[in-house]
Amino acid sequence: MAAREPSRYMARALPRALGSTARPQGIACRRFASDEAPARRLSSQMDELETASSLEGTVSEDVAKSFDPVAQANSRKTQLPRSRYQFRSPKYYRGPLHPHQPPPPSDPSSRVFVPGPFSSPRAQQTYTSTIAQDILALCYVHNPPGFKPPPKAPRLREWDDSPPTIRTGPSVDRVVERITIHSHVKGAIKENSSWLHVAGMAIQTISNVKVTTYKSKTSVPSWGVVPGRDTCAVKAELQGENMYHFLGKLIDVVLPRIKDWPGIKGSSGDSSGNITFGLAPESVAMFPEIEVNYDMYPPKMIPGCHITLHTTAKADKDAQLLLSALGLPFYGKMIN
Amino acid sequence: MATGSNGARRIVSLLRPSLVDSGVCRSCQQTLGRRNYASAATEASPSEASSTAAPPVLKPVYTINAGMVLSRAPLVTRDLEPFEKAYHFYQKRLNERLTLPFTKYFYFKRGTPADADWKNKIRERRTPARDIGHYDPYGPEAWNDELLVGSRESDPEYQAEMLVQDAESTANNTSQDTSKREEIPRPFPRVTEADKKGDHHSLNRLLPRTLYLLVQSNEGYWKFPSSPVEKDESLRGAAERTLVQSAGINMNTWTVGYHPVGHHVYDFRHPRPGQATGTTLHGEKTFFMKGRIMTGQANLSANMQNLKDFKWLAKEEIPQYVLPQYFSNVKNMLSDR
Amino acid sequence: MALHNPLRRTAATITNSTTTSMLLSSTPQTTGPSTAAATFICSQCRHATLLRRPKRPYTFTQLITLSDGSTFTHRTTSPAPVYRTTRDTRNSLQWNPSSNKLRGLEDDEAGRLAAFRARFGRSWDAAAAPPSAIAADPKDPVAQKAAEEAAKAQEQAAQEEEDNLLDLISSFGQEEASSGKKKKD
Repeated sequence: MAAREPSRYMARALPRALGSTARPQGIACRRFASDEAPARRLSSQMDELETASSLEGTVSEDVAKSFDPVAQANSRKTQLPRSRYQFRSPKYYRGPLHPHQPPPPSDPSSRVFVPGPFSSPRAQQTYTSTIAQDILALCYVHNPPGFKPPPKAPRLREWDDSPPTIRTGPSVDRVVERITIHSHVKGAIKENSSWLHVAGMAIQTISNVKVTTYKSKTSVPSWGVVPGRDTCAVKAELQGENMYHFLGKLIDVVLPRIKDWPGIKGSSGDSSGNITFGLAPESVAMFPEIEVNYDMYPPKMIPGCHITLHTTAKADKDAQLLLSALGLPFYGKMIN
Repeated sequence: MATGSNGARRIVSLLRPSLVDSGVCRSCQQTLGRRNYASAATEASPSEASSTAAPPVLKPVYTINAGMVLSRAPLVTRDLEPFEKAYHFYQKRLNERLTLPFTKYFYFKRGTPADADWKNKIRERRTPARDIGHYDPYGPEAWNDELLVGSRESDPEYQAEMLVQDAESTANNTSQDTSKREEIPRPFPRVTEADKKGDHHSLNRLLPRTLYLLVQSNEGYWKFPSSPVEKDESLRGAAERTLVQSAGINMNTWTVGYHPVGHHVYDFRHPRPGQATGTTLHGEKTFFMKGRIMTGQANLSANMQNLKDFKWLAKEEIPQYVLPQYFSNVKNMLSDR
Repeated sequence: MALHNPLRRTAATITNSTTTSMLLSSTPQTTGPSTAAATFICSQCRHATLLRRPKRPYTFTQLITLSDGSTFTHRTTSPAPVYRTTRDTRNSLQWNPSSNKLRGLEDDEAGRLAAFRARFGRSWDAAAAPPSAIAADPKDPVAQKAAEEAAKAQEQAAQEEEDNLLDLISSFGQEEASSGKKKKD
């Protein structure tokens, strides 16, 4: 790393010093005979690329009408052996030297392949088309040339060799990264596991994501919690498309229906841009997914939950700005 | 390695111009360099600059204008590309084979009319999903998951229509009285009256796009509303005043931030004498603030900026109206969508 | 250790699933020699990692119609094709704080409040409502008419009150003025 830095300066400074013209880019524009060699021309590679999309190609009507893949397959007399056209991924990964390697996870034939996205979420489109650029314009800080920001103590300790885990430097890049829905099920400790079943089903239903169960790590004698014995919580972690759909549903449908909901408390947050708020059991019951078969859930067992919105913002103030732009109201004193 | 890197660093420090500080970004470095040339070339006051040791003070040879780029945010989601539609559709059919099966008895109680209706529909379309057409994910023809040319199943409008039709038929099949037919309202069209008529004054046109307010001066030039900044006035204040003076007060607007989002420099062909004595104006610099319109509409009837017309335009329509040089300066602050 | 950790987890899952349920996947923390020693189907071996198929619930596309008629689709586990909201961001006070209609100011469509005011005046109002609020709903002819009547009645009442005051003041020695006013009434 240390050796690479001066060489980067070299690369930048050498043309500036050696070039006689004011614009060193002129050097790069000059063409030599060797550049004209067919192997080095970019255009020869570009020729191989198809310019037209297959979706725009025109097929004559009768060809399109007569094409029937099922009939073609049925009329075929001989079939290829199954193993020739149906690849099955191995069930186990047996190390990099094994001859039978599983395909990469992005391959649809892989066992761990997850299809998607199935749609372009509305909340995401609003974010990219409107909110991101407004936040950029709002939070842009212009430092005149030669300005040095005053030194600030790092919030966390220095990290030496590994990739930096603390986020430093000003940035206006604020995105909701992931959403965590967590529910502590008290009844699962005190009574039986049916509370946990209902809570898991409810959280899975509202979030489209399979939940994970957790056991307690600490002992709380007054609640009767013994570490490692009782499964006491369920959690779902949402990312990508599921997250945006959940956010849109939460903001547009569920939160307005909660009676006298004041908003998210302004002091919520962990001071590094992750905002948490809670939903009572009767609010969780207002999700359209639970409403559609409300009588299948035992009413007293519907769980409340904590929803944490993890953003890339570095301070709670920035996360509040992002979330209020997305449509989540805040109330009370804003604490950064 | 240590000696090599030290040597390289020394060479770099020698090569690096003294003016340039490592804390300054590259574009600012270029600006700094250019500013030196410019101050020498404009012959602002060479005698003064040489006499005083202080950095040269440029005379205000440009008029400073404040402009407002007033935009209406997109109101509906964008139209998907054909590739996106095909991709989403293909992923949905893949998903049919790969997710857990739908737990029917959790949602439909055995023996209810809803259950019977659901069974009928599943027999017909072979899959719980309504928006992927006729497809059996577990049958012998599950491999046949690609759409044929000209089929509409991947179209979002078609999928929404399928959902509404399904809801209607369910409501009709499960209700007791057969006399009344349930009617579920369809989604509103994405193309409005203003689109069909080509009404550029309306804010209801081009719903999936960002619209920008452009005004036409009496001389016939199209531009964003802008006017010179007055004394003791901030850029944002001047932009807001300009907007009120040109497009009226019947708009609920929000100025985004205190920083300009772009600028446009216009050089006069011949320097003109300015209002103040002894100055010659070389041109005008316009700094654009960003604004959003929430409600209301522009009204030029009482404008004080010599304007005669206004239009709400998307980004691709703007070059038909403004000068090419103006557009090349403003295009990067306009949203693509 | 890192390689055969997932396999330990599968063992824990299978023992868990007997006690909890199929829909809950395993917890990463539960790795213990006692659970790993239980009997299960997939035998643990050091040189192979099970590639577990990710489990995801079935999702439908649902069309949501908001109260103002705007629609959007989303992916959901609910099998209902269309969901129509009654209360959402378009008609909730929290999201529309400047809407007079949602704040309930002068929102009597039956005109009962206006009728009450026509009869007894506005002195019973909790707080002094802005006078412009009377004509808040120009679309509703009944309410508007009632509001006009209320305004007229209020004006009349004010006039009467003023007259009474004037009578009290001018009761001494100014009969002709008061009699003229009485005649007018």
